[in-house]
Amino acid sequence: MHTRRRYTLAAAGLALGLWAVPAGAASHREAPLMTLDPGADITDVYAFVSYDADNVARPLAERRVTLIMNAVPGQEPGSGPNYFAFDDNVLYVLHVDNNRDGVAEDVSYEFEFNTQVENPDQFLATLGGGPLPPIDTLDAAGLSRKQRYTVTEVRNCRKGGRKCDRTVLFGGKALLTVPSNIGPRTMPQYEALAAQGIYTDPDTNIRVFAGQRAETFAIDLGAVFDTLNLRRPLPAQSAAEDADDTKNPFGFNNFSGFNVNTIALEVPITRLTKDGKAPTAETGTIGMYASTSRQKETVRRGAPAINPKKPPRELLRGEKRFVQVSRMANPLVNELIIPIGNKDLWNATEPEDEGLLLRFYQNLQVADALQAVSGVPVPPKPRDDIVHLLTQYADQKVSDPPFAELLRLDTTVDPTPVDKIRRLGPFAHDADGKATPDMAGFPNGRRPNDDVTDLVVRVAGGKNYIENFVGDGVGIQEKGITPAFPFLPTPYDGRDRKHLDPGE
Amino acid sequence: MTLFSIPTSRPGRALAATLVLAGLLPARARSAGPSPADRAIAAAEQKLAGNRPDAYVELATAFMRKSRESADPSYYARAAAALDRALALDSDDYDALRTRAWVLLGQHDFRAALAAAERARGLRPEDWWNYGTLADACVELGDYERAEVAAQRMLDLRPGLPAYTRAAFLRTVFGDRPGAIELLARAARAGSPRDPESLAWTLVYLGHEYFATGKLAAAAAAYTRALAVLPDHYLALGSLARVRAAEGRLDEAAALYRQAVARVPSPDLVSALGDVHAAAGQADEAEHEYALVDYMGQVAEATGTTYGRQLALFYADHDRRLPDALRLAEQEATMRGDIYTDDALAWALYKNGRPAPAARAAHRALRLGTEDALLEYHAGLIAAAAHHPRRAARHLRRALGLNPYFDLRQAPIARARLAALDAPARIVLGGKE
Repeated sequence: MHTRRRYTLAAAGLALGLWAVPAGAASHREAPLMTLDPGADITDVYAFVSYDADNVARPLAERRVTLIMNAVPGQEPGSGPNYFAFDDNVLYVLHVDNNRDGVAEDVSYEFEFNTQVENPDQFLATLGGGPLPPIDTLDAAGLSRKQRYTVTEVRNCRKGGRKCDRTVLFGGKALLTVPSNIGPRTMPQYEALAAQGIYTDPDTNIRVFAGQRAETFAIDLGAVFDTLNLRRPLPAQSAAEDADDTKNPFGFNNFSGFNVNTIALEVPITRLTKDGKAPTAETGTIGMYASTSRQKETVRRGAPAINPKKPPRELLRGEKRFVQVSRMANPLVNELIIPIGNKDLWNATEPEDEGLLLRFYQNLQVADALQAVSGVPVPPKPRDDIVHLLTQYADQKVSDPPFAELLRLDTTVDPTPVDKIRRLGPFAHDADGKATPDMAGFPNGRRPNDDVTDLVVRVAGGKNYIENFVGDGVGIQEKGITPAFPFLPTPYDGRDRKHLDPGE
Repeated sequence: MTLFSIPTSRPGRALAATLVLAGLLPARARSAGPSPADRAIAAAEQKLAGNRPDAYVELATAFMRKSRESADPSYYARAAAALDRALALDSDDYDALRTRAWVLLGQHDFRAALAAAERARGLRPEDWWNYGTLADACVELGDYERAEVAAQRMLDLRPGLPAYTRAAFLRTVFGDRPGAIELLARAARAGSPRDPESLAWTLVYLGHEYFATGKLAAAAAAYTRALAVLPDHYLALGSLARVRAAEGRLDEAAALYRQAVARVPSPDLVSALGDVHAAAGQADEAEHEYALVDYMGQVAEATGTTYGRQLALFYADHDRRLPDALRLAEQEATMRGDIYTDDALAWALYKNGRPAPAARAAHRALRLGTEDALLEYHAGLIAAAAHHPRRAARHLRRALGLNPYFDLRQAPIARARLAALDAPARIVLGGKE
């Protein structure tokens, strides 16, 4: 019968030598070993004196500062039915150092999320438009899955951080996050919908927003991470091209058309200064970073963690209930300075322990790579300029601790009105190459549209690279600068999203 | 193109090709476009020209991703060769050393994997990775206490998908399935569509936890989510097929198993397809699939195999080649000490008419208090054979109570044996009335 015939053929197959080495499939009991953890993955951090017209007009004592962290990177808007939410098991924190000791625990803001599925039978998490009522409010019935969050202000920590004053802002209420931009049928008035997600706390004048936004970080990722294989040889561009903030001279933006999740917090400066007064030359500079932490967990439920003796590393201080899994202050530090094998360690440590890692800053391997591929010399090592820029306050001597990798913002510097913002900030120049600095941009804090790739490449490369306007040829995000809180643009919608390709 | 000599033959493919040629498997159109692992391999191969260890480690990692995606074990050999190359360039390359433990786990050389993981941990005790490979090796070797310590360390260092999934597995074997579900759900939240294999794997194991407690709808939902993340994922297809079979939707189950087999011709999938045919009363078709498993077993044996346990269970379950079942199970037991190997050994001993050593092995399989219907079922039949009818009934009742659908072929046997065991008791009770 047919089975035997097949065996004959199979035997022929064997005879032909097709039965090479081990057979078939391996059983995969082994759990995965990769951890992308998008919910805890901080992509960008911004800190700046708010540059909306109202704030520009305010006197210094009444001005406000905006702190932003982005997570859940690389969201393809059209990848429904996914809803890009924050992770309920992750604690998101913005940390501020206001007394220059490098320990950014003077004031911090904690964000905790909680998701409820209100209608488990609804086949899509989000339904609206057409014959159905469109989703025009954050508590619309069509939004079956709602994510709420609380904002807790933590200050006056003592006893090594074990005792702090904790206040749940917004009257202790849980606020609604702004859902992903599904498309024009479901959410015909998305911007109005998103605006409902901006909350103001009457007690403190703090504003907050948590939800989806468009990615403003523009970089030719493909070129930069192909060992700085920029799309034009050096000198890459003229002063006039570099000075033009209306178009990208070459290169293309890999993040074009992608969204992120944003937590934006606007705080009156006087809540952040150490004396609670208007910032001065002495008190006006703050350092900040953002962190994500995951809840501690034990293998056996209800059992104490096994290893009571010593925390895994002396470096790890961590809160009691949480393990820090990611942190960020200055852009590209994790990507360009910390070696691959040390990234997890770095992410788990506190910024004020950066003194233990200074060799990576001093060696600045990315500068070697720049020199190797371009032939243009970079400054000699050790790179004390990099150590100073990223881990110290401006008036610190490079030999003196503390070293803390924080994003530093001098709040006494006036915000630059939107129409005068320059993507190169303090390094901005005119078409003839003459300096026309915009002092309110990176590395004085960081605004969403600052061209940190070009700035970092130039700072790393030093004088030769600054004078030759070296960059990746991309600095402009097609949605432009958003003039009001939360200072990041409306996300691309799922139906009509578009990624710009080279040449477009 | 690779720039160095690593094995380029693809034995898994070769087997599939043989089977296709033999008409035993449907030829299947290749899925369109490169997978994330394919892209990772291509990216890594581009960097080999620099002849740096890190490029070879990256390539090895990409091969490991590919092996997980495709279940093609030839990629383990390629990963191992890439690591050899990295270590030839720098014998102390830490990333190569830590990755080696992972590759050895894939090759089922658990003792060597344990040694490699320990060595890497000695070099970097703060790296969570090493506790993952350590936990995996200890689990396979049956050292659950040490596995727990390693998994806890991993949770302390880097809570996230890799640590949650390992801790969840330990919760399962320690008898806490609700706790495992809690962690697997959290792990799935920490997964990313940009790493679809890890996320799909996690969802499949979440589904397994639901299935193990008889929650078919929840299991199917998890498997369906896995398929949305990684379409055609063979583990998810096979698992969803098992749910459909349990629901009595045998045609759908057969179609899903065929899809899975076309993707990855593994003995347990082919055997399960045979069981579906048998349940549908299609004895010839069932026999056809079982004969195919036999044949795969022969090929595997001739070539050195990584799934002795699967074959031992297949032979024992289907009362075929019972001496081979025992030999394979005993061979597995020399390499592994985990409860599932004890269980396979117990089952093979029982089927070979040796209830006393079978009972000892079954006892070892249940030593951790694992709530697993199959383990209870095996223990039940073994107890009956050892003339412990009350103990046998208790095990069988527990098996069916945990999951009445635990196995398409064995669950009806469990019910029948339990009824037979209970019958005299009822008569006795009746007599008292």
